[in-house]
Amino acid sequence: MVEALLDGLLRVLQPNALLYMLLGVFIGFWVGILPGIGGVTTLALMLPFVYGMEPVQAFAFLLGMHSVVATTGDLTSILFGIPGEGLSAALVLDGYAMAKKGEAGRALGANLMSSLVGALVGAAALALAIPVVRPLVLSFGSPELFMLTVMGIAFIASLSGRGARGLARGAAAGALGLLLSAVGQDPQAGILRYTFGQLYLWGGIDIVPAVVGFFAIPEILDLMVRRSSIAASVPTGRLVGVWEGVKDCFRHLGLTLRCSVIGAFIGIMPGLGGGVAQWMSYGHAVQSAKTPEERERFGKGDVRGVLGPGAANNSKEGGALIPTVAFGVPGSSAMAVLLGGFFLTGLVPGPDMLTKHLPVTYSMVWTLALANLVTVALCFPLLPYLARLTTIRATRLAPFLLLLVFVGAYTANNSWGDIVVALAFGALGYAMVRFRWPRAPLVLGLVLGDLAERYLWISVARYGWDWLGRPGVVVLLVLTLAVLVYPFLQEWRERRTAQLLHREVAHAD
Amino acid sequence: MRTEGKGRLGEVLFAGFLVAVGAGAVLYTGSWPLKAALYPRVVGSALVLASLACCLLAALDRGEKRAAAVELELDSDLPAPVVRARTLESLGWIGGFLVAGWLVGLIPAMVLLVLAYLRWVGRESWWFTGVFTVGTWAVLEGFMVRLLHLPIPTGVLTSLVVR
Repeated sequence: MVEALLDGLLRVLQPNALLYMLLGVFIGFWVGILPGIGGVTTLALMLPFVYGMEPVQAFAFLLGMHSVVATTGDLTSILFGIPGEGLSAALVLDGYAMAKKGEAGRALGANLMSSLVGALVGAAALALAIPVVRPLVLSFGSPELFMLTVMGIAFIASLSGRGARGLARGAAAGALGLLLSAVGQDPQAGILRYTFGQLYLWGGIDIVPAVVGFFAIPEILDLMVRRSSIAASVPTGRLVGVWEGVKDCFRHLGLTLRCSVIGAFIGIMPGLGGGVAQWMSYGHAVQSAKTPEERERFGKGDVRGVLGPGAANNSKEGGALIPTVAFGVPGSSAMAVLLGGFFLTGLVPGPDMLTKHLPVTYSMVWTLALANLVTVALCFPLLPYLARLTTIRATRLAPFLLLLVFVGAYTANNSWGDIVVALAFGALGYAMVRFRWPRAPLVLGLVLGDLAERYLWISVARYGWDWLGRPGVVVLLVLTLAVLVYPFLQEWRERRTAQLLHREVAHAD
Repeated sequence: MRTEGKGRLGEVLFAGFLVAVGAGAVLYTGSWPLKAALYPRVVGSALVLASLACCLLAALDRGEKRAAAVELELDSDLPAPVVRARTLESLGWIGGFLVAGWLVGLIPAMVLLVLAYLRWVGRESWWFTGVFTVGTWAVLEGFMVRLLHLPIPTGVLTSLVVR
């Protein structure tokens, strides 16, 4: 195994493979920065170019490009509040809030470092999990995957606000997201649901224009109203702080590592995807706050809200490769496209990848690690300059940001419908921000709705209602209830502690 | 105090709107087979119940202090009338872009938006506005048309002229 690991490294370090990886990193860097131009689309566009390449070169190019998209997609989320990748929206909450406080450099530094840690954990997970992952993946059937989606939404709904009113808002937002995911042709009976005669809606609401509009338009409107720079009234000198962000990553190394593991685990589960990994890790970061005061800092620029999603966003790639390589079951849509790369280079995913072609598999591990190392090394010198973008006057920035939103939305399906969807979600997002409703549960509902419905139907069709008694389902159900009850329990404990303290003070007096 | 009251009324109306959306979505499923209707009925009902709870809690003004979402805040120290006027103006720009896009096509509308916004809202010099606008057009044309070959919709007026 060690021999194969070293062989994999040597193959990636060969000049041709290394050059292809650097080319992939260069393309991925720009694709990630441009909102809406997803990594999946670029992978699909670049697939024909791997004809005639050696497998190691092909995967150095494709994986090098794909793993970098996740990292640089976060940059625009932090700098402008516009998710560079449709699903890298969790970073907007605290990353953009930090940019508004003049801490863009710190947020970018923290994000890059946590991305690197996440990528390394994901690569390590891929290397270590290959021999042992089979029973884990096979033990998760449709019922367990359905419960995992329910738990994800419950998790975010309960953490998005506190108390009964916060939970109700989170639940309503999550339910609205799930309902919006029902738009389009239904997968079971082929009925057109809520399409109102619009051909555009037959395929459902596209995530990219929805998320880009939902998060970016309220921020741009706010900027157009304020007419000051993003980091208004903050001295330019304070904008740097990149190294402070790097140090933050090591100050909260435990959280970064835990979120990386969450990302890798979600990545392994076929179909759950990157958005879930980001939001689950964001939820975990919020949950790690020890006091209510500490918790209230989230959404207002807490660096932990950047570290968690940043780490998970990259570690999920290593995780998603595990079922793709080992069983030919893609862990995400990007992996489904990558599967094409296997066939184009004459490889068949499955047992052969763990025996005959083990060095090629390990070369993927090394590519993930090296591509991220290269990206971080290239990005660090640029960060102080990128951070200064937040000092540009809003009146100069706003038309440029609107263009990014419109281009990002339009390239999803090349249709006016995409722009209309982005604007409609922008209006909804604006209303939710104004009334202090959480947007995260809605996005997660929208992302997970399709999967939840599909897994529910497969579960019912395959097991009747007996699926509710499966041990994995029961465990996940209990965890979901615990997630929902936990905020109330925490509140009750706080009240009780305050009462005891009050009594003790009264007694002492 | 008056602002808080307005905010509460706004939230009640917003939650009420979601109740109506949920109820409408459930009623709309009436003629669908169970296979297609079950999921929207379940999540639509959940939306109605959760939004009703929000509506009631907002009307009774219970627990707002604790409920504040982990979210961004629209922060502005500007007076409310200025905020209202600028919000409407910004919406006007977005609406104007849509109309321009329909009339002259997507890329010319984007270029027009940059030119007009920089000149009239940003009060930039003609020189800066011109350079920025030409740069924007070059990037859009080069990236969307020449590099990605995206099918860019032409406007109604452009189609008429071409015909």
